[in-house]
Amino acid sequence: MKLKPYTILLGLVATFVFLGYFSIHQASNYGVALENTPQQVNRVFSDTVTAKHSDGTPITYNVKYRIDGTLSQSNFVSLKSNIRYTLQMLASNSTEFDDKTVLDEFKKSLNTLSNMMGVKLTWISVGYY
Amino acid sequence: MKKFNANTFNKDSEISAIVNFLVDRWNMDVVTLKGTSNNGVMEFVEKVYNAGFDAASKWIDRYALNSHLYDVYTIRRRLLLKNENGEFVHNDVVLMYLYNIMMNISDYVDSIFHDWDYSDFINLVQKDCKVKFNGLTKLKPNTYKEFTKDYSAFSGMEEYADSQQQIDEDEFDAVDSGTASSFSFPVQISLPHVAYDDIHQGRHPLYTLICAIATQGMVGAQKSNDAELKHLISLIDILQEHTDDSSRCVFPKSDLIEAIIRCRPTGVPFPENATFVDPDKMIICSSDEIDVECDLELLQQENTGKADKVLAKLKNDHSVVIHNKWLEQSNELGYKVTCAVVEYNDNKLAKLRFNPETDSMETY
Repeated sequence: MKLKPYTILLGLVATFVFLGYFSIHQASNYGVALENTPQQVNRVFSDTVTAKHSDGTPITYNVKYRIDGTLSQSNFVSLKSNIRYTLQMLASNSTEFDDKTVLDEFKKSLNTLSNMMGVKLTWISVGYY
Repeated sequence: MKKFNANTFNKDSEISAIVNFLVDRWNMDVVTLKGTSNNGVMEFVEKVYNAGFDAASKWIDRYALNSHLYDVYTIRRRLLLKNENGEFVHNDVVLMYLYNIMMNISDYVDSIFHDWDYSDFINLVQKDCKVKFNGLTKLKPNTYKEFTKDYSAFSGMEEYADSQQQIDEDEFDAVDSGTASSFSFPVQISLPHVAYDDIHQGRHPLYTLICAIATQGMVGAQKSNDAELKHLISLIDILQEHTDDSSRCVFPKSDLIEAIIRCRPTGVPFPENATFVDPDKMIICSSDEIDVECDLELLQQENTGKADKVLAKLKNDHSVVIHNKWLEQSNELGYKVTCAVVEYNDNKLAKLRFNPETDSMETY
C-alpha cells in the first residue's frame, strides 16, 4: 500500500483541530448541557482506542496523559472526545507504516487544542500495538 | 456500537438497544407508568428518544455535507471541462446549484440553531416525563451508592476507560452517537461520568440519562438527514445533463434542499420551469451497486472502460440511472427513456434523445 503523503496528514490534523475547537461551541447540541461549571482537573487519564488503517490493518492505541488547569465540562468532554476521534481519523487515513508520524501529529494537534482551551496537556505514554 | 447506515437504520431497533443496555446497568425497574404498576421503561426511553429525534428533524452536519458537495461539484466540473473546450462549465445549472447549496449550508445551520438551547430542551423533556412516569427520580446506575461514597472529581474515569469502555461500546447495539465533542452513549451513562455530573455539576442522574437518550435520537435524526441529503445531492448531479436551459432542469423533490436554497434571500432560486421528481419514485440501476459518483470517480482515475452508464430522464417523470445492459430491458420494465447523457470510455459526454419515428435513441 502506497504511503499517504505527509501533507494529507497535516491537512487532516489542521482541519480536525479546527473542528474540535469549533465543536466546543456546539457541544451543547450533542449531549452536554449549556450550564456547566468550570473545574480544576489536575489529574491523569488514559484511553484505549481501536481503529483501522486505510489498508484495513487494525491498530490499538494506548494513551496516558495528564490535564492540568481549569476546564468547563463541555471543554473537558470535547478534549477527551477529540483524543479518541483524532486517533481514529488519523489511523483511517494512513497505513501501519505511518504509525510514528500519526502519533507525532496526534500529539501536536491535541497540544494545540489544549492550548486553545487554556490547559496544560502532558503526555505520559503514547503507544500502539 | 454501529456506524450509522441509512439502509439499516431503524428507530425501533435503536430504542430496543438502548433499553436492553440500560436494564443491565441501571435500576430501570423503578420506572412505572403513572396510574398503573406496569413497568414503563420502554415507553420512557421511547418518549425521550423520539423527543430528541423530532427536535433534530431539520439538523444537518455542515462539514460532512460540504465535503460531499465539494466532491460531487469537483467531479462534475472535471467532466465538463473535458468537453466542448470546457465551455459547459461556465453555464452549467447543476454546478450553479451545487455551489449555491454549499454557500447556503452554514446560514441554514445557523438559522436552525439560532434559538436552540440544549438545557432548556432537556428540562422540558424531563418535566414532561415526570408527568407520565413514576419513580424517575430514583433512577441510578447499579452500585451508585457504593461508588459515590468516597467520590472525588473525575475518579473512576481512567479505570473505566481502561477496562470497561470498550466492552460497553461493543455491547451497545445502536448507532455510535459519540462525536468530536461528546462521549458515546455508554460512556455518558457510565458510573464515573454520571457521578461526576451529579456531584460536581449538579445534574441528577435522571437528567444525565435523558441527555444521553435524547442525544442518541438527535444523532439518529441528523445522520438520517445527512444521508438523505447526500443521496439527493448526487441525484441533482446525475439527473441533469448539461444544460443552461432552465426549462429542462430536473431536481429531486426535497423540503430540506428547498429550505437550504431559500434560507438566504440573495440565494439562487429554483428555476420557475424546473421539474421536481419524487426521489422515492426514482429507480437507480448500477451494475456494481455502488454510488454513481464513486463510479464516475473510478472512471476518471482508472479509465477502466466501464463507462457504459446512461443517465436518463424517463417520460413518466420517473428517473433512472441505467446501465447499458439495462437499456434494452427498460421497455420490458415499463419505462421509456426519452433523453440521456452517455459517458464514453474517453470520458466524453454524448447526449441522446428518443426519436419516436425510428423508435430509438439518437445523438443530437
